[in-house]
Amino acid sequence: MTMRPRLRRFALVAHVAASVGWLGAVVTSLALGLLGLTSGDAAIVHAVYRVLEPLGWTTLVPFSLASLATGLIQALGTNWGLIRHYWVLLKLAMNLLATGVLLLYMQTLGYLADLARTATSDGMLQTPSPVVHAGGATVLLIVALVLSVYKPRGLTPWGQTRTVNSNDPEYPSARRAGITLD
Amino acid sequence: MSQRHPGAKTGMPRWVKVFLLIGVALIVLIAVMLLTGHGPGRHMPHALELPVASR
Repeated sequence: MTMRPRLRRFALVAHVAASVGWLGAVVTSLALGLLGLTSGDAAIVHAVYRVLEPLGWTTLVPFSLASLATGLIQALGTNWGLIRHYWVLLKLAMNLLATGVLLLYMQTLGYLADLARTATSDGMLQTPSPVVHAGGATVLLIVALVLSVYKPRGLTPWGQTRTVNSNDPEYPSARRAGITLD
Repeated sequence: MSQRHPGAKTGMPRWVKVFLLIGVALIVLIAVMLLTGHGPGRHMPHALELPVASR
């Protein structure tokens, strides 16, 4: 079912907002992770590892799930489809992977928060783990952003067997006319 | 009016193959790390000696 233009734009705004919010929260986590790893101030190190967990539950997890849900709506409610174009399919796979790893990693952030409440030495608490995970997530989300903007060509086998109409973005005349359906 | 895609049945683009290779490598890496005990508390071996609040 294809959404009407007004609803499609609203859904697109929701998807962009959720995804941008997710990227912002990930970059914030990366900055905090770097601060916790490099700071020589015990109070700052403890505060960083205590705040990463609530930051995850209040921003990272909600934004990642919102991005996934609005992305599904955006794909299924427009001519792009969910498994018709490789770039859409790859974005879905990347979103599922990132959300899955995030949900698993929330246990580690909880563990670090517990340690920060009880640890007496910063050296034992400081770890590159949040930096590595947030750095990887940042790269992944930027790649997803690039895919969204450039929309590289390529129909899946399922997409190739489908009958398409002249508004299809893979259809050359539509491309030449600059018609996009995002 | 609908019609068939004119360039139907083309192969998988090269950029997709590159993405798939990276994706498979990433998934294998995650699977290996999970199977070898990567997870809460495993990032910092010496931190395990510290008292941990009950969860």
